[in-house]
Amino acid sequence: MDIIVCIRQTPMLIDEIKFTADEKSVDAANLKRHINEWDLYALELALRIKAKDGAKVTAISVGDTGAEEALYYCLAAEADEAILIEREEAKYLDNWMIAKLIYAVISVRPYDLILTGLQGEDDGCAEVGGILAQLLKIPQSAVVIEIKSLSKDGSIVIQRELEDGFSDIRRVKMPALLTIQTGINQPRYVSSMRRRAIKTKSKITRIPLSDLSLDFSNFHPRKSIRRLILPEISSSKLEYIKGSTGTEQAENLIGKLTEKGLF
Amino acid sequence: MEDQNIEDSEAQILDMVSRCRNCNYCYSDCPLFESTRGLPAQGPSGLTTAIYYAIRWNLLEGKDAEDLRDLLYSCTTCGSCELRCKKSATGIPIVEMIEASRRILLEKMIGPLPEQVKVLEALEMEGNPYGEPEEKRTNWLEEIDENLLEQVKVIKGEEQVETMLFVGCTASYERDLLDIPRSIMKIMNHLDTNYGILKQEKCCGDPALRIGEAGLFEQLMEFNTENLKNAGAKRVVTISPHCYNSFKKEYHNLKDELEIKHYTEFFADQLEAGNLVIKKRLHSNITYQDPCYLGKKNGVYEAPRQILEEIAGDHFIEMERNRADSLCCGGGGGRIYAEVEEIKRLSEIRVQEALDVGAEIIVTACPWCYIQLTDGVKTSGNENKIEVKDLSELLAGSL
Amino acid sequence: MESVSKIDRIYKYMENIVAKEYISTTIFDRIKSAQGVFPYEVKTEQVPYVVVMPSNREELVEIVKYANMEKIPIFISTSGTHALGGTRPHTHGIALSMHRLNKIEFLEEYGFFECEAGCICNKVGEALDKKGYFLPMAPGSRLIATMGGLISNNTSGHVVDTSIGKPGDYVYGLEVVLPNGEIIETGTMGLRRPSGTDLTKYFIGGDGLFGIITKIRMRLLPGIHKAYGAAIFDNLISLAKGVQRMHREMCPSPLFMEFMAQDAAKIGYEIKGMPPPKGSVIFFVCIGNTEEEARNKVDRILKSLQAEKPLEAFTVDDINLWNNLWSTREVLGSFLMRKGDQWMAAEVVSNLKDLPECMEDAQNFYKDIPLLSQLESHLYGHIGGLTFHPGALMPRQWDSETKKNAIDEKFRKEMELNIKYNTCGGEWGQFSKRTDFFIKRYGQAGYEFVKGLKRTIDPNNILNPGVLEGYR
Repeated sequence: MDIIVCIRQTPMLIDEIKFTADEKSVDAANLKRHINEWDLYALELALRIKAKDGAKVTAISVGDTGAEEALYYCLAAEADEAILIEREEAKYLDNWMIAKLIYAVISVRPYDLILTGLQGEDDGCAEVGGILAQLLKIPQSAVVIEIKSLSKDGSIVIQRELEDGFSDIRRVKMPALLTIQTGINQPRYVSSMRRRAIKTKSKITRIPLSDLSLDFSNFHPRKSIRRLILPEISSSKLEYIKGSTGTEQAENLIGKLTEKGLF
Repeated sequence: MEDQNIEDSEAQILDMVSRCRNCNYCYSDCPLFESTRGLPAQGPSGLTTAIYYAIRWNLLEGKDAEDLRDLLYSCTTCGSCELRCKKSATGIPIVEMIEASRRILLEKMIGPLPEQVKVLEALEMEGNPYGEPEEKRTNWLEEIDENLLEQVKVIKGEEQVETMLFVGCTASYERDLLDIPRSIMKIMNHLDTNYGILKQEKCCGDPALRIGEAGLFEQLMEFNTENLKNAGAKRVVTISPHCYNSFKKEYHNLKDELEIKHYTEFFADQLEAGNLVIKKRLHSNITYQDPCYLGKKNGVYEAPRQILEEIAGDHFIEMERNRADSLCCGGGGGRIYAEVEEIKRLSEIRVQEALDVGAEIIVTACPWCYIQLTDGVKTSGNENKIEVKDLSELLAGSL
Repeated sequence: MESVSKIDRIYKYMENIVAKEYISTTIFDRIKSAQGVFPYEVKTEQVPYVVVMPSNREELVEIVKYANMEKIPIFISTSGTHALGGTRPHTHGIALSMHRLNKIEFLEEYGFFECEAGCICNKVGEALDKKGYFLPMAPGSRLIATMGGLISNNTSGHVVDTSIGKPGDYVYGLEVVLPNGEIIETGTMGLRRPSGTDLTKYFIGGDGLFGIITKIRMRLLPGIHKAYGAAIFDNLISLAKGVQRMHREMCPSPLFMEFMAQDAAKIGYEIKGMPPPKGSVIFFVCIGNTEEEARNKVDRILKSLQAEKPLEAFTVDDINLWNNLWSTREVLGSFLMRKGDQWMAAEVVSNLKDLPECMEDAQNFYKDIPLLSQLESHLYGHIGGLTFHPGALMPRQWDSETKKNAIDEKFRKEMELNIKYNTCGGEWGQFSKRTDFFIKRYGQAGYEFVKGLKRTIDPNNILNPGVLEGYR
């Protein structure tokens, strides 16, 4: 079985958040970084399937600050391979572009399961998994909280989290992509000695952009950040959006948001 | 043992724990056995037997591995068992074996306890187990009166100072305990002693070492050793007995390079030299909780008592279990960060023992004993009957 | 290891009886419960299915009934300190810990105290001390050994029997759960011990064969005064003769009387920072209702000892000196084990007539056992009770099988000597490792007698099976 896990680092937002001068991103220059929490759960899931049923676990990351560190971590945690897609750090890549880069690498490799963390600690977008599944044209299930079973017939039964404490259980045919929620397991701790030693024992597979068969002429962000603002903390006001159908409610919601000046 | 591979470590541990003669006398002094359900393995030789068979029968997978982890990480590392074993049996360094096994479990990615993972991450990232920003470590000084800061040199770079006060993570970040460093500063001020505080102080590494992260401990050790030496320190005075123990016993050769004192030792010396004179005596009944890492681990029993006897005279009453027989507060060994089984809370047992001898104040000399016992007073509903004070607070108040 | 489904089945049934936090299927609890005091490994077929900790006798009764119904053995192991390995299971079964039965109650108006079987001996002693009473028990394992186990054994420990007898002599009643689940209460609330059939006697020293003790009633005894004496002999035969005299001349018996051969004493003295003794040492404690009474006893004993020309014989008035002397005996074992080897000792008991000859035999205990003859050995013991503990250091490098053989050889030799002197052990019980001895000593008829009792009371042989059959 082949499992691919998408991994990245995020800045640790433990104190007051400052924006860059253009107010388009968080000023992360002085912030410490660690592996995105959700990704750790995804990695742990892959490693446990490997331990129980046997699998090859490949970690993949689109190179930016800390990607190398993150990939070495995965190798130290007993992943079998780690792939770094090299890129210019300064250039802005939105989540579509990141998904596209990963797609370009893994679409020519064998995979049964692709695991991503549900979302990033920093942007909370939860986009890469869904986009990647769409690009690969494979089924995806989001917010997975438990793997019920993995069968030889090539399907996996998962439980995913809904609102209000509800969940549903689905059988998904592999190859499939799952985005993983925290709490699905207890991620292992990888000691500093292991992390140090792995650098002499294992190598990261580096793939330069030039090696990817991608149409770079059409490779632009589909989304850009206009401005980041810190929310004011004010007393809460609750208003229910009316509508008898989902479409009606959505239209009313868009109306309200336009009123508020967000569109 | 850091450079050894796991197989060699296992062989060494196996050799040591197989010396156990299974007399089980160690159970009589073990706080784990006293506070838990009392299942067969919940005692010192229960843990070493578990380690033995885990290695011999390869019980390091699945649920067995988790059970072993939970068992080994429930030890407070107080060392009562080692004292008993030395006195009455084979003299096995039981705690050392438990900690060595924790290292193996951690390297095998079976340990530590889930709640301790973020502690290790915080230690690595921010140099303290609380995850607080490292830049804010000395912010507590802003809440100290100007006049108490006169003697203090905050060492940022090339400054030199003979005596260093190693504040420790808990005193630096826990505002509830601010009176402890404040009191120590008052006493230093009274003694007219000049001393330094490292701007870039990091955790002494005790939590990392107890939890089994030897690599991380080494990083912290190197960092602190370099900073202490660069400041030209001849003496370091610690607030926490855990920092004291780290410097004295775990840091490579630090004790050969400078004098290491717990603040109770330092002030007891001053008392004996006549530099500290007690002006106001205390008339409340007090008793003293021997911190395990000061007493059992390092034999410092009398220095705190010298001070307390001066302050309280006949009002200082010993609990029945004192000195080497003292009951651990339950905070050591990494336990303070995790939920461990405690059917009878150690802190509450201890509070009751203090009440039994008529004490109105339990005096501690360790930030963790302070936190644990303060909790114990609250959870046992004894807030009207007894309070917890650090020795430094009483001493500062008596000058 | 037994199948997981069987463990599950037993666990599920136990859940109906005992709170589930007090049932453990953790492999480490199960192994530790089976380990006992032997330095060699437990075998996988000896690991219990579960460890259960009942909180009261009613829960215990349900467990026993279930065990009987399903024919699953029960092994009682609370502190696991039985020196003959009586707590090491013979086969898979249910391990029971009496740890939670730990209440002690003073019935001062009746002149008794009652304690549950899981009470720890030392804690009972401390509770009695606080009220000015005396616990007539002094096993070496008192820090952790339980009252239930100690009464099942009826051990003297350090105590010289002729002074205050055995702990069982002060037990006036027991509450016992029988192997079929019935509860019986034995004995009397009066101060006269029963004459004629006293069911208490079947369980005091019962070796864990006939019932599970849940509660013990013992007489409250007054606190005692102590006085101390010591003597040094240049040879062990004179020492033995001195003790013979003490008994023959009807001296009031000491409570404790220990001796150490010179080579052993030298080690102990050195650890305690005292100059080496000039010979083998003997030191003893006498008790009395008054200080004077205790002292008089010491004087009487010293007089008897002096007739055998010791190098020195004296009262010990300084309590610190006494504590040092006493602890030379206590530290010896721990010191010798510092190198990492296992100290093992036998319990050889002499009769009064042959004490000097037995002393020689004890000195040569390991010499004719090929496996053990080269080991470092030392001799000490409760000489006042005519008991010798020849001990040897077993190398830790020996594998499990060799260590087992060593222990078996030790018991075989012990048997030889106790048969020779027509005696039996007074500390560790019979059976388990001593079943062969029992048969030799009391004959097949004696053995069948006990087997018959066992068959009647425990027809399914579910209570500690293997103890009577002999050891594993």
